[in-house]
Amino acid sequence: MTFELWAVVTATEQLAPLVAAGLSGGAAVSAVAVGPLELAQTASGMGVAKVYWIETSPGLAAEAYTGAVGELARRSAARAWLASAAPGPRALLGAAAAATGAGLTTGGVALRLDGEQVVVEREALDGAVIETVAANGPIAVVWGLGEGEPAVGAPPAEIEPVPAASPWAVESLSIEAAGGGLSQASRVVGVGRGVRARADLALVEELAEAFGAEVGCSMPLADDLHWYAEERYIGRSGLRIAPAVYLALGISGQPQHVEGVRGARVIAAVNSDPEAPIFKTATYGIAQDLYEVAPALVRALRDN
Amino acid sequence: MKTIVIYKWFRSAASALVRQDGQVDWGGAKMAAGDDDPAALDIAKAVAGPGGTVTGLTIGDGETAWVLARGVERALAAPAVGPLTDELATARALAQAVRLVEAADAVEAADAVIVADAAAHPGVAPALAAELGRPVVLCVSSAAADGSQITVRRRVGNAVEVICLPPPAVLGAVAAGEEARPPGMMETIRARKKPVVELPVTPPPEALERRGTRPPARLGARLFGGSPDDAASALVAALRADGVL
Amino acid sequence: MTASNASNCGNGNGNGNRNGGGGHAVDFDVIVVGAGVAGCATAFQLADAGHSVLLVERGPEPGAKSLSGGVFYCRVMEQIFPGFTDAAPIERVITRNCVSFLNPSSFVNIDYADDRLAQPVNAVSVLRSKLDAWLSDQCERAGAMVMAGFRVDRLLVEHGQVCGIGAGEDELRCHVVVAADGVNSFIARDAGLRTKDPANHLAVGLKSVIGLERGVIEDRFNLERGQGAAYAVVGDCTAGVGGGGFMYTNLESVSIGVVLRLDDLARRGLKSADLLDRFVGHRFIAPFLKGGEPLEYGAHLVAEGGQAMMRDLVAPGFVVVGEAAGLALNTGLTVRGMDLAAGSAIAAAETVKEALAAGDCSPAILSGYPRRLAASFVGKDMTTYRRAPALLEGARIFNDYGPLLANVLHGVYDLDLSPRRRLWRTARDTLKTAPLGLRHLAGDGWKALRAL
Repeated sequence: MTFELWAVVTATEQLAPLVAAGLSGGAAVSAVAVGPLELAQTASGMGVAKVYWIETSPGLAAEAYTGAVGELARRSAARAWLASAAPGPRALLGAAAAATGAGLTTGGVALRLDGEQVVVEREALDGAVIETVAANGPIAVVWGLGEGEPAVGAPPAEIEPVPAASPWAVESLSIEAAGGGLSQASRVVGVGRGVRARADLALVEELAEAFGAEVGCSMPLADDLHWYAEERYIGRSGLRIAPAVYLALGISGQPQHVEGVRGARVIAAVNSDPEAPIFKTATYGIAQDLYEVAPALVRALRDN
Repeated sequence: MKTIVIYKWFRSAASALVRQDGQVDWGGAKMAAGDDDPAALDIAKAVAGPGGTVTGLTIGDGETAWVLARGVERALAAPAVGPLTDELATARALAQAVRLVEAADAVEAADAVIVADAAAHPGVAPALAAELGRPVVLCVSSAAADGSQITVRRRVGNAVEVICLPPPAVLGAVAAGEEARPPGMMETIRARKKPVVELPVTPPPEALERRGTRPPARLGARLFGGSPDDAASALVAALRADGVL
Repeated sequence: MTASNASNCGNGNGNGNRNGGGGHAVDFDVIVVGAGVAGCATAFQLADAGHSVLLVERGPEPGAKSLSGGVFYCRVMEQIFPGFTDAAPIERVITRNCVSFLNPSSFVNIDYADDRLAQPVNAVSVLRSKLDAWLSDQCERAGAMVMAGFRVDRLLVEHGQVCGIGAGEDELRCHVVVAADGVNSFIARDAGLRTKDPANHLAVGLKSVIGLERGVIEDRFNLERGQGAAYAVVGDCTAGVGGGGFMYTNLESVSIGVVLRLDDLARRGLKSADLLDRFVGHRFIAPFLKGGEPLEYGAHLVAEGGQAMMRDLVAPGFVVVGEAAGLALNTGLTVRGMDLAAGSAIAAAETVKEALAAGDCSPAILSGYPRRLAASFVGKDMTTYRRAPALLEGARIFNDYGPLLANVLHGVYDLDLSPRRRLWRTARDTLKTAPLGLRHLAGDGWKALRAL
């Protein structure tokens, strides 16, 4: 017994986790690719049954095609719709849900068919619980972060172009990179309110140098204290980074911030409060005063 | 321009008590202002412009005083709509309310409907746009209207993007900082004393069945103890072993 | 706001509730500062009687700043909120009380369990975040305006009469201000009612809440479903610092903490957090908490002086309730605050109602509050236990009685093949080698009888 799952994507990096989630849940996965032909072609080689391709015009944002996706959804028999939390695909997922009357939820981490129902496990309350929800009809899920390996050597799937008659005039006027080297850095030191005075940032800079890392910060240090430029704050509404290692110094770990570093491979945290939420996200931690730990880390790094 | 800001439409995760067995106890938690609600209001004011009007809209037991204390003249509530699990049902309730406001104003559509692009309920803003049949931009941190266009700025990933779209539109707002100037006690008291105007919105059916909650597998950090130097050396060794140093 | 030459709040013209306390225009009849048990209970009764009441809380929501340092002896709440134990969010009904003498290598308990403690409910464990939210909700339903997230930073005083509060740029006028802002009530000090407390009257309470499964708690503490236990601990839990330890069961967590006298702590150069860690990790305590998850941690100043802490409770247009009025008791067996807070709220609300009806908020009428309080269980218990702090300040109870009891019992149970003697003889021999003489024992016994 299988069921149809459609993954809505606007960029190639969104594909693997969604396709993997669908396949491991026993679904026949199709992709709705809203973007250039290359996106549809990449999708077609990832083990999906079919690719529906909506070609985007240069200058228009993916959000311009909500109407087209809604039209497509109306003639779909999919039981499940997935998209990443990025704004473009999420806007399109909302359109698909509204068009099909799909129950709409968020933070999905696993799904399966249970009798006639599609069952989704989701992270809720900032990850404090896993909730199980089920739908008799279609379900649309803003998928949580996850990793997925694309199927290797799968035969390319058929690509069906879907005409988008009249997209909205949602025009992307300019895109500028922000965050400088920080966004691409493989090592990042993040600093938060645990640093008591601006002058103490020297401590952090010294550690970053020994670590070979760029320095970013939590929202209050940029927004409230203005110790760092706005481009340097990491979080849901700021920079999202995916370094090999992220070292959080004096950061409590509010959900806002943590979302910006979820892509990091390893997170290490130093915070004097052993109950700081950052320790729930981090791989490694030192629950001590950063004023003592930072110099010790510099020594440890220099000693090799 | 005419704008509608939707605020206090969900409960804060912080007011839920999670029991050891993963059961969630909301107690008497009310609809609360989320981190992004002040940003939504700022954007609604910016898009409305000096001669424009902003109407505030909340659901359930969301308190209209929140927006009245922040300089909005008109605030309406849809008390019959409680917290819903299904984000499409929430969006449909909000769409009903928006249409009632527009009908009362005898306009076809407000120029912009602004709603928090809440991390906990990220499906609501786009589903609301789809229900209303209007274009949407999400993750908006600031906006301005000029003539027949709305121009928004947002930060996605590591890029700052400027987008323009025609009204009527829906914008999902994200805060770029804490609220600049929360209202004082007098403003809040005066706002509380204003009558609440209620909209007859009926809660739409939900397409999701809740099967319960359980605690997540807690991974948690591996903590290094001892003297600061011991802990630091152990951390550096662990990072080297993981191949990230 | 109204003109600065507003008449003295006491020149009452008595034209009804809205303007009942004086001639000046008011925003509210009564402003209550602090939404803990005392503040909510006062605000509720006044709002319920039809007065306009503003309840201001500085925490982002009611309960955010409260930390319950013990068990709630909640019988008094029935007088304010009939059906309290059924309606309010309580965690467990306490039916088992233990007095524990904790020594480095021994642990003596007096364990008292009694079904009568559940019928009617006498004591419950509560989580303040939930209880205070419920209480403030009752206030709102009764018509009070509850404002959380605002800090009152001054009192408005004209012609020696308190007539309102200030918060930032805002000023709000009323007939009576009720100070319910906790042990270091700065507004009571602002009104000239309290000077800085001597350090030996102040203690710091530290509490950690450790999450455990419902069934695990019931098994480890030997409880029936939904029932709870409370431990009062003396001895090695404070490493000799004046004070004591406590431990009680919530529904799915155990609250454990120490109350430490500030002056003693400072004199010995010890850190309170270290002492709590030491207590939690003590070999006889740790098994209760094994595998638990630390959920929250907090510190709170506690008035520990018994009746010596009680101050003037009224000024023109002003009354003080709850811990702000010094209402706290540590008898050694029970740590009380919330019940006294509720009792003072009853006395205060009755008096304020009378003052508003008479249009006179001068001490002539408000002095009915300390009179009512003295006649209530609150005043009587404060008097009964007035010697308890002095007793607990004496070092012996903390250091010596635990080992003494353990040695007596060791003499009884250590069957080392020597012939057994009668218990009293064992006790007498133990006393001979103990640092405590018979004279001390008799003296302390007498003191304890009189104090407790």
